[in-house]
Amino acid sequence: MDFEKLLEEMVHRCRNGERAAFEELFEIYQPRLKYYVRRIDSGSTDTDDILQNIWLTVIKEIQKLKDAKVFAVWLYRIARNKVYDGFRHKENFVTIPEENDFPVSGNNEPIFDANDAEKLHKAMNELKPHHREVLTLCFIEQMSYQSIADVIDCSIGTVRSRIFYAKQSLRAEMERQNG
Amino acid sequence: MDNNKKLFEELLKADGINPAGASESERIAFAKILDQQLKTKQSHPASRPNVWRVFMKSKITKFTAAAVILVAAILSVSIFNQSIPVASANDFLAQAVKAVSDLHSVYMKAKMRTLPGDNFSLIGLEFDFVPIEMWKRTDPNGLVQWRVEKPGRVLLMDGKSTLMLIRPNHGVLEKRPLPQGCFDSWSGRLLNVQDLLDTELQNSKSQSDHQANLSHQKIDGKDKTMLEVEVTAHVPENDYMRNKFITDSDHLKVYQFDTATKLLESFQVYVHADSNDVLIFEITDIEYNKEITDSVFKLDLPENMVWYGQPQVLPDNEKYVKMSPKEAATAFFDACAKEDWNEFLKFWSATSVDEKLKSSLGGLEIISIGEPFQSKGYASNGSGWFVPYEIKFRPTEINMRLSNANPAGRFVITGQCDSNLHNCEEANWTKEPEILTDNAAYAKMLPEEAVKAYYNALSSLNWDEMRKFMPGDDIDKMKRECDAAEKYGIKKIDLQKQLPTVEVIKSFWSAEQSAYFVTCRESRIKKFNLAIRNDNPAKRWVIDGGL
Repeated sequence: MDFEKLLEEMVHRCRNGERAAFEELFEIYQPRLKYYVRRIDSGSTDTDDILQNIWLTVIKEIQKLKDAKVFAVWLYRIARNKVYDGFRHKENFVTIPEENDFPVSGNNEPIFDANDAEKLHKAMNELKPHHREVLTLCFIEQMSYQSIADVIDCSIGTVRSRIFYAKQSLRAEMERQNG
Repeated sequence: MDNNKKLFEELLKADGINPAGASESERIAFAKILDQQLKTKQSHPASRPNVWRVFMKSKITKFTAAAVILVAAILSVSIFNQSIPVASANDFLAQAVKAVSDLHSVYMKAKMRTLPGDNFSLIGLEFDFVPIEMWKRTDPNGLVQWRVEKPGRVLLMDGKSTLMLIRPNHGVLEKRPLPQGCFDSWSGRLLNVQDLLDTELQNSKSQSDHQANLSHQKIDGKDKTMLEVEVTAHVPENDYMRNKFITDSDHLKVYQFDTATKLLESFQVYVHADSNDVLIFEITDIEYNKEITDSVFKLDLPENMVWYGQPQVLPDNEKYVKMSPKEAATAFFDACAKEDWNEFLKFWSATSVDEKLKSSLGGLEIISIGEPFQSKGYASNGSGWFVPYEIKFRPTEINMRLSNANPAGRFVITGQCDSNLHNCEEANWTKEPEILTDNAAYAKMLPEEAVKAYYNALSSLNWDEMRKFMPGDDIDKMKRECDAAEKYGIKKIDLQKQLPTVEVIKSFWSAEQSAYFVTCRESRIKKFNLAIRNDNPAKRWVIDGGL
């Protein structure tokens, strides 16, 4: 069974209140979520609290998720909201600036292999949070632009341009780090 | 490994995260959240049936207690070890819907905590079980017929029209075939197994207040699929209508299907009460494709039928439309007091008033009419009101029949008869009256003294004292009804007020009946809530219940 089908069934089982299904979801998504939360809230010391809040919401609200296929988008939206709620509480929430629209195509996107992961990770930490965010969703979940747009609640055009600028910044940062 | 996945894993590792899964401390923290949340969802007393409860409803109850305990232990292991749901609740329901689509008949026997003559949907947590039978068949030409019956009511759809008979002689006739569940028949809906399951399927997909849980069990060596649907009614705790109908209660529905055929085998509904779960409805027998005789779908009606229908627009309709709920209730009781039955019918959507109703309501005295109130669970379009009232019925003459031909040698009540000593309601003496420790004092009582002593005990709800004059079973039944009334929020003091006050007139010996009789004049007060609504073509208030 492919991952999507497996995930769909897992979500159905969660909606039926099956404890084992929640535990399976947690095993799969906890590491990815942790990475994502840390990237969009790099200064946070309460990542664990945020993660617990995210899962609490998942358990409580999963009945309301009508289409199991969009579970990942739904989950990352919850995660994002929890992080930004934290920002608001800390009163240092900053509105993310819009990049100018830029003609981009998917074909000229840089490719990274596993060997670059360490450097990539370090470089990402130096990027602006909203750049880190789209790149994380892109690298970790390999989400489509549409799904990323759904998670961060903006247009697909904004996602395209944001990823473009994020990758430009990432490349510049990696070049700087490598001398 | 694919390049993207490898990149993802390496990125996580670079951040000190194990991509293979959560850490042990995270698992423990998550388990705590799960414990808390899943427990919260199930915090209603036994919101998921435990093995025992499922067992008590299965055929296993015919085994000895020891066998039950043993089998329960074995099954509980299999239940908790098999994290079963092979198919989700939705998938299974879809299969079950398909399984019943080819059936040509269904016959069900059920029991429900309701009143024998009241509507099919009324429930009461303290009511006794009332038997219900249901039949449905589809002939080769596609003609559908069905019947739902309990002791005081029958709902019948013969393929052309739909009839409700309220025994003995009240009826509602719709000259068209209505679906199951028409009028007020909640249980009738059960007959349409396909629709019932389809509704559950849709609810479990779309409604957050319907939580479905599917599990498998071995019962009598056969694989059964249990579907539990937890329903939250969102009716406030203090709402007048809460727990008066299944739909107005937080409840758990338990369906049992044969896993192989996907056919429904049993069904129970538990209402979550304050301190425990109460079994309110249970299908005790279900047969598919049974031959049902034609006579089931025919009803012989008495000649003096009183028919109910939609109120028609009156020449002076506007006068009634303008009334407030309180004014309408007052006008209705006033018509009863004056025995103005033409006026009575302006608020009563029937062709005539039957004699029993006339004799019970005629000449009543209005003590008070309270301020109307509404309930979320009644006429949600805002057209229904409850009007509190207190009335005093016209005194009636009754004759209590007594006998001291028993080993205790004291007078006990054996029945209650009308003024002509006919139509006696028998007391249910299944064993001889016992000899009391202070029997001599009671044996000295005359018939009229015994009746007075009984009514004195009744007025203070002294059940033990009442048992000295009436059978224990009858007293127990009265006590249950009083307990039920109290649970509905009627105070004991108000209950006592509503008990009949009795004046003893005379006692005599009837040679014809070889029994002593005590003639009494009984006056009764009733304090209750009149249900009225105006969502009808005439837009005037009609009495909908609460009499």
